Amino acid sequence: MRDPGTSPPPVLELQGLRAGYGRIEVLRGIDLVVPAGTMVGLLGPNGAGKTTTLAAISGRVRPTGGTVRMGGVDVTGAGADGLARAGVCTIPEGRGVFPNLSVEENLLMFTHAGTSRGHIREVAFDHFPLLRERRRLLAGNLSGGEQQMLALVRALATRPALLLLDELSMGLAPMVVDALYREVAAITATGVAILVVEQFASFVSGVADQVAVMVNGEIRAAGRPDELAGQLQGAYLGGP
Amino acid sequence: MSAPDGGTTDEPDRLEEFQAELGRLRVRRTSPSNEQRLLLAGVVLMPLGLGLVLVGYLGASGTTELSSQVPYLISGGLLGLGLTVVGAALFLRYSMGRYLRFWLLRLIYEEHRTADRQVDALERFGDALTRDNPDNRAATAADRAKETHL
Repeated sequence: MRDPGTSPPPVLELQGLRAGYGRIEVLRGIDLVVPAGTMVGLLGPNGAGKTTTLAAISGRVRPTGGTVRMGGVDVTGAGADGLARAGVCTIPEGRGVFPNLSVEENLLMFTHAGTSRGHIREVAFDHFPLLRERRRLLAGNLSGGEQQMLALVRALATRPALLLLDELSMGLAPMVVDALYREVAAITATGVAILVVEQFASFVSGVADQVAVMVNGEIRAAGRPDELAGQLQGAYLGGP
Repeated sequence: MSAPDGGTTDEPDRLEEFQAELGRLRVRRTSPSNEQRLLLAGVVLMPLGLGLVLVGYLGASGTTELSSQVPYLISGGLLGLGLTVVGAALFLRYSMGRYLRFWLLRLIYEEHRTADRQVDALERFGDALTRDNPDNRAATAADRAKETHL
């Protein structure tokens, strides 16, 4: 048991993280901290390295330098399967649902973390009643927003410790994105740490505790969303 | 960069469970220089294997007794051939891997650029349509007139 007097280590801590693809270095020394029960937004233009950051954290890309700590444990170089079993949940760009399986069958796939099928169905249909109506449809035939809801069930029902979200807003109407981000923000109340990658700052600024702006593989600015509001354009475009 | 701690819940401490699971993970501390080492191993094994085959040939051809030729055949011929094949496989795997990785990245980059150009073109087209449509100009003028009245 942890000593109640000491503060818990952050769920995610990156120190000088470097990663890339062969000789092409994409991440050039990233420092980032995500404590338990908070949401951190990682913003930046296309090609900044945001998705590579998530890939390096989740073990899909092996870091070439720096460290990745989760809960104070150095997990640099750990495999994606081990991290996923331990409690790192990634919802990739493009939802990551199985398009040729029905909604019901996709929910069955989420039992990998040891959660029962009944509990997953209960969580899914309580949070997203629309999924109950569509449960026999193929996931590939759902709208973008419905697919995103199905993908989020994995985050809600499997009790992750760290949730990594990649471009939740991609291809969705603003109203749908707002509703989804409200669901995501509610997850932090259970102590889950959330790192969300987003190109559009407006979606994340209202719900994130902290944001960091990433450009060309480096963090250019970090702080509370209201502190950075005036600096975003400059951070993206390199101006003052 | 850091943020305030999140709230705690009455559920079993998820962070402690998480830490325990992570502690059980086997983490391979490999570095990308492993790739270079294996590529070099392939480069070294190929001529080494061929050399052993040559030594085996020279040794076997220097004697007419089968019982003396067999060790040369095994250590020189078979082992040398095996090392050559393994070396060639390592070399192909790691040199092709780097080339194909770069090629794939290049494809993805070009695809993103094409998509960005298409979006720009569509936006310019949309702006041009809005600008040049006389109905839109009339509607805009009518809206401005209404605003003035209000």
